[in-house]
Amino acid sequence: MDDQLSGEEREQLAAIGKHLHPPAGLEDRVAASLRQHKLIAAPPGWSPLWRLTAAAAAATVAFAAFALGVRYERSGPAPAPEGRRFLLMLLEPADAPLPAAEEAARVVEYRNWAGELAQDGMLDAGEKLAWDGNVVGGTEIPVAAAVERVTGFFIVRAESLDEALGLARACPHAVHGGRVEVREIEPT
Amino acid sequence: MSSIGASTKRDPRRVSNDEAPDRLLVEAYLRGRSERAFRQLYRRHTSSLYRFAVLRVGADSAEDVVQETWIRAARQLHRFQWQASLRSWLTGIALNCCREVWRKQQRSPPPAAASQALARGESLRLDLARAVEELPERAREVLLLHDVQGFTHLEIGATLGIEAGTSKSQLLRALLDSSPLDQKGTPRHG
Repeated sequence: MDDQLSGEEREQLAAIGKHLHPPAGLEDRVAASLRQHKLIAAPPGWSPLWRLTAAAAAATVAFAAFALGVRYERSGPAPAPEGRRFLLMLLEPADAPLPAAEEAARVVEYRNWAGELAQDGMLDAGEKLAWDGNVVGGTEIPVAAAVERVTGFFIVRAESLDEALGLARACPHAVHGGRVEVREIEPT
Repeated sequence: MSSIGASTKRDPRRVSNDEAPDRLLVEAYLRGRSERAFRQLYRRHTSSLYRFAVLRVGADSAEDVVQETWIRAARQLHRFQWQASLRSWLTGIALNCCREVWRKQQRSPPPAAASQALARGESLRLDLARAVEELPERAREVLLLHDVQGFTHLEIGATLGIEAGTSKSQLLRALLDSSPLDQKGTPRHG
């Protein structure tokens, strides 16, 4: 759209209020207000480690048993939104797609797991990918030619690669024996 | 929230990547009124809401606007259909709260907070700030949502209850009117 403002003026306009941040105590005041209106209910003794273990247990019995082995411990508050970002690629053997019913059950599990991450401020995105696709560039081939297929992904926030690996190990996909490739997203 | 014109609606099944956490958090919140889920929603959206409120009603009332916005949002979330982004829906609620603040004060909307921003030492040119403050109300809202909040015209339409095309034309008007230069390239102010 043509306009009469220069690029510099548009930048100045976009910068208005960038220094304005909500007061630190506002979150607690809003939460208290919602509690007063019975719009939120916080269970007592809701510690981060307990939450994580509970989330794992809720997924499946197998997952819960596994979670004891890969217990993910987190110290301190949830990372700031500007923390490091990691891509978790869910890989499956190309010759063994899951039956539809099992896949639907997995989606529910993954969704519960992702919901827990979101509540800890550690999830940026997550999507299931279609089984079929094509690889372009060079010789164009269908993904069917690959040994493994990426069937979904999550973008998570973590303070280190080790923490991201811990998350990946606790992902239901890994718990069920699937492979999860973890790569840090580099700022560009 | 204002009614949303047909052209500003979208397929609620279409989820952008950065919206997936919002959906999971809203689901978690609605399941058990989870405070943890609410606080994450708050942290994802309040900076934008607060900035919008300060720019519309000033810092003195902005906190009240933010608080009232979240109370109303929490009450209505179960009816939210994802035909707009959560961000634009929340901003629509905040806008209504701002308008109520103006009504209570029985005066016309305060000038956009460009002058406040200036008072805090931003480098916005005075003539541009003055021009923004002098814009008609709707044009100013569109300009702030588009250029300050970074909304798309679809989101602006959903927030203000207008067509996306109307948002575009309002923005064009705002840009023309807020330019320090008139259409002949002559400075408007001293």
